[in-house]
Amino acid sequence: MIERWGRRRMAWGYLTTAVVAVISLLPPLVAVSHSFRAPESEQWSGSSYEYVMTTYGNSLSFSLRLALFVVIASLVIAMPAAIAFARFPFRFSSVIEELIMTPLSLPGISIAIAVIIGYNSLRGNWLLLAMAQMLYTIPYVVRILGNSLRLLPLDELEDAARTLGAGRYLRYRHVIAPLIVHPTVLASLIVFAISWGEFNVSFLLATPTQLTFPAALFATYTSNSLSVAGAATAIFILGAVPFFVAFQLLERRPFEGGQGV
Amino acid sequence: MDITLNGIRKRFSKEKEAIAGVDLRFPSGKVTAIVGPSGSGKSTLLNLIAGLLRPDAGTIFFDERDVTMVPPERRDIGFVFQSYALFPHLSVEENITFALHDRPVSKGAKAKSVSAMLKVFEITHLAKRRPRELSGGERQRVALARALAREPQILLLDEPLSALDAQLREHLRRELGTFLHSLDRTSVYVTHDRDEAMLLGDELVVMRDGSVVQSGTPAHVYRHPVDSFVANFFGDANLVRCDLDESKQRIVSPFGTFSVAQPLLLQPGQVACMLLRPEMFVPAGADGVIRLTVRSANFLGSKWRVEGRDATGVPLVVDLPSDMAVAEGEIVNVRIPRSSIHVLAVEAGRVSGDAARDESEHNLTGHFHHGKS
Repeated sequence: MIERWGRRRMAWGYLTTAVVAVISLLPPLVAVSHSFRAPESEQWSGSSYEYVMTTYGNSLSFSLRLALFVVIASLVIAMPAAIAFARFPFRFSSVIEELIMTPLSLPGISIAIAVIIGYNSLRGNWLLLAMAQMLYTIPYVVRILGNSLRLLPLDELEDAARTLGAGRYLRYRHVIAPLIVHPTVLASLIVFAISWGEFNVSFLLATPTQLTFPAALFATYTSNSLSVAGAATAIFILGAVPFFVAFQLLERRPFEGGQGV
Repeated sequence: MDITLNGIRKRFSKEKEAIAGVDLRFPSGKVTAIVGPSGSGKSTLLNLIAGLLRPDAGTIFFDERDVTMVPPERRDIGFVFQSYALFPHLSVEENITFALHDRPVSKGAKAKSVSAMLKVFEITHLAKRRPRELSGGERQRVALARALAREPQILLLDEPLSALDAQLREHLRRELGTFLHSLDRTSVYVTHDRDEAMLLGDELVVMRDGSVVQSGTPAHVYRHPVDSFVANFFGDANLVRCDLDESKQRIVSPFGTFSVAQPLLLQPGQVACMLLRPEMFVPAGADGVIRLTVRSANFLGSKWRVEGRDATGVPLVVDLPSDMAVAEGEIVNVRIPRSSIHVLAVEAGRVSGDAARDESEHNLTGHFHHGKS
């Protein structure tokens, strides 16, 4: 009886997963399937990919460079803040931490307008776009790193290292740094994914020379054939695949915080 | 190596001193257990000895060396933390190797030392495991192995058994006791558990509210507590109020008049009390000094735990041999060997029921505190 119930529950699980997968994956799969048809014909062809790479190659490269910059800059800015909030909390630090999260609840258009007004002198400069994206990414880094740091008994581990004769450098190199690698990589992957797929701000702040790939993707849908748009979608998904693989690998490796020491 | 603390003070807030002027000496090669209730300052004192905290006032000496301002990494100590604080990203082997990072020896020699420690603590089979893959007892062994890998002169242990379940704690307590005594190093062991303190400590230091209340051997502290707090902390205690005569060396109790070895000096507001542990009473014949009317009798296997009142109404808890026949409502004759009697000064306010008893014809107060505080 119990075994039959178990099988039924498992079947139900498979069914619901399949439904969710079909709903989520069908649209991009349809788009990608169109990418292999030659424009205005029923023939199989890879010409759409060639067209996208020739026309929007610069956007792809710009998006990639922008995402890498946003990752590094977000970490540089948000990491010390996360460490301060988690390890050295001060009066109102939790309020400030919550305030940093505010951009996440705002529509992209508001952020874009705010950035244009606030940093008008940077208009036309790619830094403006990076800054707008960082308004979204910094809260993620602060929250992910902060929460992870709170789970780790870093003070006690540092004290343990001190009683074992370890000086400041050794404590950081062999105790603190290895333990924050996991959340840092996780935060980096998420920041990369956000920047890579960000459309609203990118679209509003785009210039002909600073067109991100998601903004270019929009252009392919509005001005090109369905096969070109499909090819652009396929390339975009391909760019996100390393992120998903890395994310999965990281998820399999247990985070050492919260496991008890 | 001796540890000497002179006038140590530490304050974390304006309201209260965590350590309020402690002078202590931890003798070389002995295990000293610091015991006291939560918030008494025992862990703070251990952290001050380790150098993890700096005192606001006072000095700390390791033998002749003033280490008051020396950081922990240069104190040559081993420290076992309450949570063990094993590095979660390192294997058992790597955790122990970390302790040898600054030893000027080859990698091979370090590996040999680590291997020896793994053997001593019977954890060789766990060498490649991470801390999260270990049980509580295994973690404790690794923490000890890591702390001792540097061969420190001083070993400090902060409630290393408190995170374990009762059965395992009981088992490891004995094992740890044997091990610590075989080390022949100065060890300071912090615990809130009186049994653990008495089992492991050659010497005891009893703390309350940031101060040392009493220190001495476990037997001395148990038999001759300085006040009702210590008396109750170390087991069940009948505290029976008595009077002192003018010589201050004779006491008049509901059970007779007794001499005491040392004159008892009472401060204003203090009263004299006899400390009678339940196990001090012995059955007597018909001429027993105390005629106890049994109110309740619980058979505990190895003994009877009897609660009753003597002829004057003094409530007492008494342990009697398990082969005796004891029943509620019966009268049992017991006596107290004179050598067992200890008299101590107790704050009058701490003897509950004083006012009611003072009105009695004997002007004597009987009082019983149950269990440890």
